[in-house]
Amino acid sequence: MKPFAETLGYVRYRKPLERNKMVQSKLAQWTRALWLPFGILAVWFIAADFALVPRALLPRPFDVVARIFALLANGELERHIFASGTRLLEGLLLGGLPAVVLGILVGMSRQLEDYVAPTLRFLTPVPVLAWMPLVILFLGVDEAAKVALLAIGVFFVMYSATAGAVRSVDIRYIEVTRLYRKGLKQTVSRVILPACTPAIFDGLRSAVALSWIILVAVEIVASRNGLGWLLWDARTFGRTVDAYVAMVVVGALGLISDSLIGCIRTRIVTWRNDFRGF
Amino acid sequence: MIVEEQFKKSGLKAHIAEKWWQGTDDRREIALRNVEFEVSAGTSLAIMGPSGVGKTTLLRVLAGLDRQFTGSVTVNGEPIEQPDGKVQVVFQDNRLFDWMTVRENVLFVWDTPSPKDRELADEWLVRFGLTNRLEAYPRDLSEGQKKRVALARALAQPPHILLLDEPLAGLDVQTAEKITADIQRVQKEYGLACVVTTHDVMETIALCQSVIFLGGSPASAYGLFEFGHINGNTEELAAAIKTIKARLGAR
Repeated sequence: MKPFAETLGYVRYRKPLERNKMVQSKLAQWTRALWLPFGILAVWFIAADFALVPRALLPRPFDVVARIFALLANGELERHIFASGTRLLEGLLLGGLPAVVLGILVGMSRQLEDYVAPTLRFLTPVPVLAWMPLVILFLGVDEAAKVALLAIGVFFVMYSATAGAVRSVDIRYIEVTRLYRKGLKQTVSRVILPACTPAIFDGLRSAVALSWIILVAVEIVASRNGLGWLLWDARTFGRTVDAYVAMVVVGALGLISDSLIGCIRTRIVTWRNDFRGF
Repeated sequence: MIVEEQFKKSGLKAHIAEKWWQGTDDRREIALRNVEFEVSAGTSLAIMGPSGVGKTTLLRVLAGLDRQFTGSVTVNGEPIEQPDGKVQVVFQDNRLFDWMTVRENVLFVWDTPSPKDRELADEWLVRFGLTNRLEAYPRDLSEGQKKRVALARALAQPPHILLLDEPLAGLDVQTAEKITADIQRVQKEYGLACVVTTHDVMETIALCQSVIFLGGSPASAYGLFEFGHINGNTEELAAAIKTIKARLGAR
């Protein structure tokens, strides 16, 4: 019997492809992905080159690319990327690890949930940037404050994702662990954790996306390096090109980090039969 | 053979005076009342009744998963107060872990499987014709294969009593026949006592030697009928089917 969706006629089930066909299909996918950026680039090019928008507001794409290379050549862009990247990773580790641990604990224990969850639910909607004055008062304007703000942002996203994931583990699986007399350690490591992995990765993805947003914001406020600083410095000195450079680089790094997490997720979560779209 | 020696011949005795569901407002809703039966080693009892009558609830009580009842469930005279490995269940929905391969699902029963345990797990899987599927994930298995993995998992640490919840529901005729043969063979070879819930008359006759019925509201057990082994005797078969159908509709 044909699968239901196929009988409707709009699904082509993908058979495993030969190697060169696979390369072709990947290339086609890339081509499709590039249409929109090239379209935007074309509009930008026309608007800038024919000076439809004042040059001071909209530099030519070529100028932006040239500036990226110039900044790469003198090592300045690398310095900013390295500074921002380090902060991002530190924030992810410092916020993410405790969040996953606490999320699992709260998910496992209703008693702990009673003690902790209401407070966390109260704090979650407080915007990360609203923490900024407080954090700066306590930690100063140095690295620590920036990393702390990132960690706070990451923490709440990852905590909610993890605790929610634990609670959505099918109760029937828990019954099986009872039947086979599994202790807490076995239940967590062999059932809860693997069952939650996809959701934790989804949480991580949101957390990284949020981190880029927070990062640029905190670097604008007080910093001597980083992509946010590059952006703000450009504003201060009216270097529009640099602002575009910062945006392009943040976008590219965001895309790369997101793809990386996606890759790791598919490597680890091989057992799911997710809907991949028609 | 490793498998053989570990099975113990045991019987199960159940007397459930009342099994209730605790409502949020302190009201108890009685689900089962006066359910009493006995299964001895090497025999199988079917529990028949319409969908939703409480067959699965009863199995959960027998397995020690549900303690909200008065009465007792004993295996060889010892009460089952929580899941203790003596009573094992194959659920209707199999409940295989999606993130474990076939082999890992069976190995789950041990906390840290020894080489001997691994051998035993593979032995069961090979027996059930899953030799080529050891590294497959449940999503890639047919319903019949999933059922066999669930059986292998339940038998890997030999239980005294095996509970089968609608073991053939949703399977095509040929697969159902094969699984029936698998279960029959295990029963015969190891003298395992089984309790099988079902709403299918043929399933009852193929897998069991006696049957009780659940019916009424709250559900209670009635009409114990022992028909023994019916091996191709069409007259006996017809008579048994007739009796079962008559009793099934009695309440």
